[in-house]
Formats: sequence, structure tokens, C-alpha cells
Amino acid sequence: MTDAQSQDRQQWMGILARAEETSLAQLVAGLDDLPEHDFLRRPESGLVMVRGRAGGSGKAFNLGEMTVTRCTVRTEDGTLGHAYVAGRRPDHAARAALTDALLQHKTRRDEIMRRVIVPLEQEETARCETKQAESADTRVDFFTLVRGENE
Amino acid sequence: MTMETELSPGFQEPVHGAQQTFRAVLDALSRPGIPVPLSGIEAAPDPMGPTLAAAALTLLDHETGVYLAPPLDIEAVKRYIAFHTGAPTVSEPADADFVIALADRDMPDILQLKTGCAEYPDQSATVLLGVRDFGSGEKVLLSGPGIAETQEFSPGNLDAGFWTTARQNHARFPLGVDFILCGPESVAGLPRSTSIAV
Repeated sequence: MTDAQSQDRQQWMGILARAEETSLAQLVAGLDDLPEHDFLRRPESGLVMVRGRAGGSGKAFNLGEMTVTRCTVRTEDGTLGHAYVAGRRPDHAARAALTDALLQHKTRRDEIMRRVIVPLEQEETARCETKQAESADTRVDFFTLVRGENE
Repeated sequence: MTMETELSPGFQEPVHGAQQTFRAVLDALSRPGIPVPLSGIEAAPDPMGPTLAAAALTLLDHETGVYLAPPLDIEAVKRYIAFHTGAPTVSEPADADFVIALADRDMPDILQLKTGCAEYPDQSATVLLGVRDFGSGEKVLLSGPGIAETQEFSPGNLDAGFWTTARQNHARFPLGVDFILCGPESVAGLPRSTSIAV
């Protein structure tokens, strides 16, 4: 797998993971001929330790634990789809894993991108913009008046 | 995009499968030499048998180093173990917490495995050994904890020197390694506490 391919996959897996559960369910339900698939790993939830670095470059520290649901499906031709989503959402993880597997099929990639990933991405962008607009309204600008340094 | 290579499923029901297997292994170690029925994982990669795979997926996790003896040291088995258990593979048998081997093949030297120490005899290796059956091999008499008087035991296709090594292993008690023998449809235990008469 080349870097560019990895990046593409990272991007769509991220979009699938961050998507609203109901939107993903609707979009996947709207797809035609979903392939036969079985679970290599049924959806299971557990905890992962989120680690961070102070200022992005300091020493690694444990930020805290979060719940994650993961799932792996195998379609009839042996393609593996993986998903990791935040929270306890087994159905979301299963749909995201199936979509990841479908996106690896060359013949279906464009269709799935158009019908699932692009709408989810637009939703996400809209969600972000709303949030940013909301927080922008409450922004407070701090500034300091000149305090007579020129005297 | 390159497709990931073939990977087979683990337990159909991970929680129940692991619990049933754990119970079978526990019973097997409590009553050495008596095979305990276990259905195992049919889809296990060759040459791992269903019960060997079930025992591995039940007992291993990310903190247990596993040594795969030939012919199990192949990519398909490594990937299977890594995906389903997260256990790291080690290249030296002496570093392993678990050794997975087939009876008639290149089994590592049992006496070189981790035996634990006097303070922590539990920090020893456990050997999961795939055997052909529990009736066609050399007959030995087992006695010790978990056996009322004696127990006949004759697992198939073991190496000629196996029982000599197993007796040396018992002689080191409370140190030593424990064996879980995995047959086609059952598992049997041979803990270090069991004494063996050939």
C-alpha cells in the first residue's frame, strides 16, 4: 500500500468514524447489492488510553481513557474492512467496517465515495462551521489600553 | 489498493467461546490425562487444529510472548494470533510465556523454557501441544494431584524422547512447565505436578 493510498484510507476511515450514526445508517441502507460478509471480529467495545504531548512536542502523558468500539468484517472475496469508532456503538462500527471493505473494491470505490463518503464529509463540514459560528459569537477580544508608557 | 491477505475468523461468539474453552482447559489441568471434549474453532488456519486455535485465542493476550514452533511459524498463523489476541511473537523459546507446537514436529527443548523461580513458580511457560489423538501413542501411567490412583494416558504421535523430558520436567517441581495437549476434539492437561511412569 502506497502512502497516498494509506492517506485516502485514513481519510475515509476518519470520516466514517466521526459520522452521525443515523446518517451513516441511512446512507448504507440506500446502497444496492451489499456483498455477503461475515465478522472476523464482531463489534466489541473497550477502553483505549488517549495520550498526548504538551505543546505537541513535549513528553507523552496519559490524557485519559475513552470508550471505543471496533469491528472487522470480511466480504465474500476476502477483503477486510476495519472500523474504530468512539463510544459504545456496535451498529455504527459494523457499518463503518463494511463501508471500509467496499471502498477497497476498485469497482465500487467511486460509487461509495459519491453516495456515502462525500455526503458524510459535507455534513461534517457543516457541523464544524455551525459550531465555529456559535463559538465565534461568544468570542471576547482582550486588549490592553496604553498605560502611559509615553509619559 | 493491495488487498490484505486471507485471515480467518476466531470464535463465533467470542465471550462464550473463550469461556467454554477456558472451562475445558481448567478441567483438563485439574484431572490430568483425562481428555475433555472441546469443539474448538473450525476455521483455524492450517496446520493449527480447531482445539489448538481455541486454546491459543483463549489464553493469549498482549502481555504474553508466544513462540510458534515450526511448522506453525508461518505468516498465516502469526497474523491469526496477532489479530485475534494481540500477543507478540518471540523468536527464542526461552523468552516465551506460551509455546505453541505440534507433537511430532520441531518442538523446542522443553528444559530450556521458562520455569519460573522459587518465589514466583507461576512465571513459567505453558506449552500448547497439538496431538493427533488420545489413544494411539505409547501408554504411560500418570499419578499425582487430581488423580485418585493412576490414570492411563496415551496421546498419539509424540516424539520418542517426550516422556523422558516430561519426567525431567516433573522432577523440577514446583518449577517447570505445564502442557495442554490439544487433540482433534478434546484437550488434556499434563501439569508439572503429575508424575509419569513409563
